[in-house]
Amino acid sequence: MRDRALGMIEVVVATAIVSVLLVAALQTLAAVQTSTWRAADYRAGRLRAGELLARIAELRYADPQTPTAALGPDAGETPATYDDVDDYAGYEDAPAANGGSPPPAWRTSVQVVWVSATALNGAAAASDTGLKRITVTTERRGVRVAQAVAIRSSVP
Amino acid sequence: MSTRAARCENRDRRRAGVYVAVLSISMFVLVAGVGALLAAQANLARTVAVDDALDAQVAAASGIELGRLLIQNDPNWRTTFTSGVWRSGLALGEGSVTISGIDPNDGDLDNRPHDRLVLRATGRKGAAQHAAEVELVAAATPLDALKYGLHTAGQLHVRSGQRLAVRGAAASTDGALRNDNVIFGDVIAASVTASGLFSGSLTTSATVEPFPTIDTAELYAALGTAISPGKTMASVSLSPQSNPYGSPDPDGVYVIRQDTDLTIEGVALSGTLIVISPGRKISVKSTVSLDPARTDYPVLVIVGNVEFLSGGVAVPKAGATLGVRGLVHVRGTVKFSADPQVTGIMLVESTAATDAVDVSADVSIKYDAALFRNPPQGYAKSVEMKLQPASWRRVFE
Repeated sequence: MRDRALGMIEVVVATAIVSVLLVAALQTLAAVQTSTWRAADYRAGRLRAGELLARIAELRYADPQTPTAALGPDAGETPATYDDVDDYAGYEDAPAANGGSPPPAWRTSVQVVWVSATALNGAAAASDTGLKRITVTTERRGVRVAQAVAIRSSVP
Repeated sequence: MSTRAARCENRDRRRAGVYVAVLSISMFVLVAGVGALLAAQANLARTVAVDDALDAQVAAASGIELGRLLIQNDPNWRTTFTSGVWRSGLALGEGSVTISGIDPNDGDLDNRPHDRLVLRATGRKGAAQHAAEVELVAAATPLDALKYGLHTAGQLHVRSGQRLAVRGAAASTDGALRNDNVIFGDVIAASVTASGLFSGSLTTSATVEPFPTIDTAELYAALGTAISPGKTMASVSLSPQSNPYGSPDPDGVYVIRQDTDLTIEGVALSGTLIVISPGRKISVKSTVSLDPARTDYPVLVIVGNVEFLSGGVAVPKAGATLGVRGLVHVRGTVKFSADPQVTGIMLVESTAATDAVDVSADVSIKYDAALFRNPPQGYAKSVEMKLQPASWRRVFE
């Protein structure tokens, strides 16, 4: 008995150390994985928002046929025929709208409002100020992951 | 005894080995875990930094849009803003934008209405910064008065035995036409007291063609170099390189401001001459050679009453084109007692009901349409600042 390789105390201490270590390692692994997922979501969300914002920014400030119309798509217009910035007001890239792509977990929405030249982040103006603020927001499973904001002016 | 001691030693060695192994594995796992965590955080930070850089770029583009709107919405933007920062740290999304407007010519936005503008916007988000700039150039809509070879607000009087020839465009008056002899070319007049003979058409129109709304004499006086020739300026050569009265003006703009009559004779000017002598008589004697040094400046702006005469001294500058080329603007009356041989446009602001323009010689004016297409500064009814194609560029501050 006195010639045993390890005593009970040694075994307990070693097991405790290994256990603590294992827990810490698992927590670290979880944190690493979470951080990786967050970065991936962030990248994907920003990419979606940026792509849509770039597409919107290429359009005219106002509809050539009805330049004084209210914000939003004109009658009969679809995303494929949107021809000015504010046609995208209220747009949602919902799965039902485009056959499940992007994946259901993703949702991209657009807000277009008139804003004052002195407060770009301010409340929406009631009438045309010559400036439109375009906000594209990307959410994943209901959580906002990215947002891109741009200003478009009426100057041709 | 020796066997027992050996066993004990063996047992201790095994125990120590286990501890060392456990601690080694612990350290390895710890280092690997912390390393992975740091790498993941760095990855996330890099992603955020890229995102911030993209947002800063979008903010800069938005700043350019806003800057252009500020110009479009304010007809007096050149006085509202100075060359420098126009808006600082304007919040946009989670970032901000700063807008600057710079006059690349002389740093003064207000001194010339057609100066270019460099519009710069700097977007910032987090630690990211992106600056972009564009160049805006003036697109001037000319005064309608520049459609005519000769335009006056008062009476246009061609005296008996004299002739007026305006080639390339019509002569026009917002007042009455009194043609006691012959006019070669078309005339547009508000009313006619004597129609005389015409080689062209006579149109009666009540449309008043406005003159510049800004004081162009003072506009150019502020840009030029003052000279004091006294009552007579004779046999001199004025240009961006030459000024016998002092230092040469780089644009050849010379300003005479005096309360006496003035006689100009034998003068070779390559530049712009401004004479401010309200109510005084400015006699321009043949021969002279007056050409603008800059195509966007007039050649002659006179506040006073002008008479073109013959009998002056010879032009001192060999090879100079005799006559007057460019835009001549007189805020007073004009009497032609000799032909100044104008190639360009003459604007005569006098509203006098008698002899605002008095043609007492055979006078020929050759219209220059280039002055309508590219009006001299101050002679536009509106100036729009347009984006210079391919001028968009990123700048590093």
